[in-house]
Amino acid sequence: MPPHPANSDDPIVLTDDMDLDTTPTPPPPSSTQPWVEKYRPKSVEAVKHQTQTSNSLSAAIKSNELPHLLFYGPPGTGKTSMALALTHQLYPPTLYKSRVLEMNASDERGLSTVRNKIKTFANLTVTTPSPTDLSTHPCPPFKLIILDESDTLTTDAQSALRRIIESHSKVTRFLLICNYVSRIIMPLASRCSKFRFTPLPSEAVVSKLSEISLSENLNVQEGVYELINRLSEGDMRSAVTTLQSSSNINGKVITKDIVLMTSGDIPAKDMEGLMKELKGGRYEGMQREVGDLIAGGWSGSLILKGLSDLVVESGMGDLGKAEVCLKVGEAERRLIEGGEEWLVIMDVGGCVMKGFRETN
Amino acid sequence: MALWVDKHRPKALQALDYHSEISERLESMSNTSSLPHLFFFGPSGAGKKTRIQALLKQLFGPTVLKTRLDSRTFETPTKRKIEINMITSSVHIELNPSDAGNYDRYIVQNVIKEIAQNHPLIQNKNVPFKVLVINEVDKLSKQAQAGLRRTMEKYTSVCRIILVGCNQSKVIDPLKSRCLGIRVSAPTVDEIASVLISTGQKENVSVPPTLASQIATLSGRNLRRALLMLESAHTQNPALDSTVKAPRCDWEEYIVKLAGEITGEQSPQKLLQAREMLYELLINCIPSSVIMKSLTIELLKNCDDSLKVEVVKWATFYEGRMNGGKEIFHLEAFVAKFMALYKEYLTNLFG
Repeated sequence: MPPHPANSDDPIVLTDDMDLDTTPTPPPPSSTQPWVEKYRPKSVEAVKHQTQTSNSLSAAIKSNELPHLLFYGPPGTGKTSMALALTHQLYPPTLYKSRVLEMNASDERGLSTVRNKIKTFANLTVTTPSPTDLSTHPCPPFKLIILDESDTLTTDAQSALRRIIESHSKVTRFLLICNYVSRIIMPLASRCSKFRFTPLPSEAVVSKLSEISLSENLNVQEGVYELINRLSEGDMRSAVTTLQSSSNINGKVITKDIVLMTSGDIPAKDMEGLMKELKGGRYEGMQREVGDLIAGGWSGSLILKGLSDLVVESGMGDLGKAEVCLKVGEAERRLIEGGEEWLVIMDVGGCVMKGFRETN
Repeated sequence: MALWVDKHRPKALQALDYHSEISERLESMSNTSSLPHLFFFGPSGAGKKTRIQALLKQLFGPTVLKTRLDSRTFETPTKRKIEINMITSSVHIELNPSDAGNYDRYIVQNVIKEIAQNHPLIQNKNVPFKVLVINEVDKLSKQAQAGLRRTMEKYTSVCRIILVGCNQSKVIDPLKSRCLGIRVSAPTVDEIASVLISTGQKENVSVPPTLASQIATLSGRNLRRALLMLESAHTQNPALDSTVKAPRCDWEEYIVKLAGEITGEQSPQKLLQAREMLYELLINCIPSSVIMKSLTIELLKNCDDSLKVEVVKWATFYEGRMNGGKEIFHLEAFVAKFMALYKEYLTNLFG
């Protein structure tokens, strides 16, 4: 497969204001490019961990047959990468404009867009590829419409898509990408073959990170990969961003301390202070610690998460733990609804304190 | 005449008073010219904007400081005209999309995308991109935040985005994983006090250390507020000596008074009186969640530990219900609930 210039992974969208990508911009110097983009997998097989998906897609590329697709899974698991890699393997750069329409949440995607833009594109006849293109790429006889972040599509827009998907399936395939499959209406989901992208296991993250540090000449100390992996919770993008930001700070040597500094986790020491007051049953102490944590810039939900982890590991009685869990759930909802953080956390703190008192 | 807060705002990374480790990180980042997207978060008055300004100056030099106010109008698909203001210099643009309320999505899809697509006006070899500062990202709707996702990835070669917000958990994960998060925690009381004293020196005013630490404690670790308090103390009494008391906001005094009334007597008459006082606070545009929080803090001072747990529980309960509803009902319900709890507690105590 020929290498693509850095900007070519964006297909041209049929809009009045043409995308920047149409003008030939020189690829940015590699140092300014985020590693997430620089090391995006170039082929379907290179996407880590999602073997089932990549196997079936490779088979589809070989056979020139593709169903409508629906990719779903948590952020940073390779959905967009897989989609971009797929289009690169199917079509040569010259055919991009006529064969691929990529739309994401940064484009207006209301009902009218679906009716006009998407329908028009879906209607177009398939262009005939040149013999040179055919020799390098399979160029299957259909167009591809990628709807990234489709969980932000309105229900109306989704319903409008139902018939469009069916009636144009001869010349057009749809590829929907989303985080929450439950936000896609049933009739739409049932028209696509679904692929679930699972959070990446540690081996996949570690192997990608070591590939990157090899080509960036990084000196990564022991335990750093494992630490990054733990912090990123299976999100490859956040793992790669953490690695790059750590290298921005300290050049080529990367230690655990730097990674901890760049990650957004509450240091164990601060949480311990709060736990000590809670175990000791000192309300004023807790009030002070909670105030400090919030003034420290930590968000309520992070404090909640840290607190619930610590309580589960602590020696509190089962009944107390159960009550705390109930309270944490309630508090989480209040935070999402925009509740006052200090009050919510203090409320949970009171409950934890009671749990400890009853255990003793 | 500029306020002291603006007049003595540090302009360079090296001149920042505290959080030297953040300044060092920003400085080393600005030297490598591979700046990632950034997300500054932390409580208000901690110095997020000051740090961003200093970082931009480090990157682009003094051109950043020559700003002007631009406004742009555009039309939503529903034919509504929306105007947004932005602060621009030749190398950076700062805007506040949450001003547009429900229409913030269109700002992200139209204005921000367009700005991000265009090349920077001034070709600078070291810094081949321009910077877009987006304020109050935590107030953006989920739709608008989702609109930023691909824009941030697609145009990284010409544009870096700096997000600013108070609450990290109101920003969706996909955005956070695209940025390097920088936590700016509130300065400690001592740090605020020393900033107050040094600001005083610049203005040729000697600030007594006792006053400085008093203001710092009262400010709730908010440097902006502390500086404003210092200046207002200075206007009231130009010769700041140790007899000067730190000025407290009227509404805070009022809440202390309200709490005193509630704990003093629990009866339907007092409840009526409390209602009037709450109305007074609401009329003066004090946000209801602030009233609830300050009132709870004041009330807690008179309670023992087991009662405190109960009081906070109910405060959270009523605060949670307040969103979108008639706030006065829930504040009043909380006061009534507190009266009941307190009375019961007193009866149990004295029989």
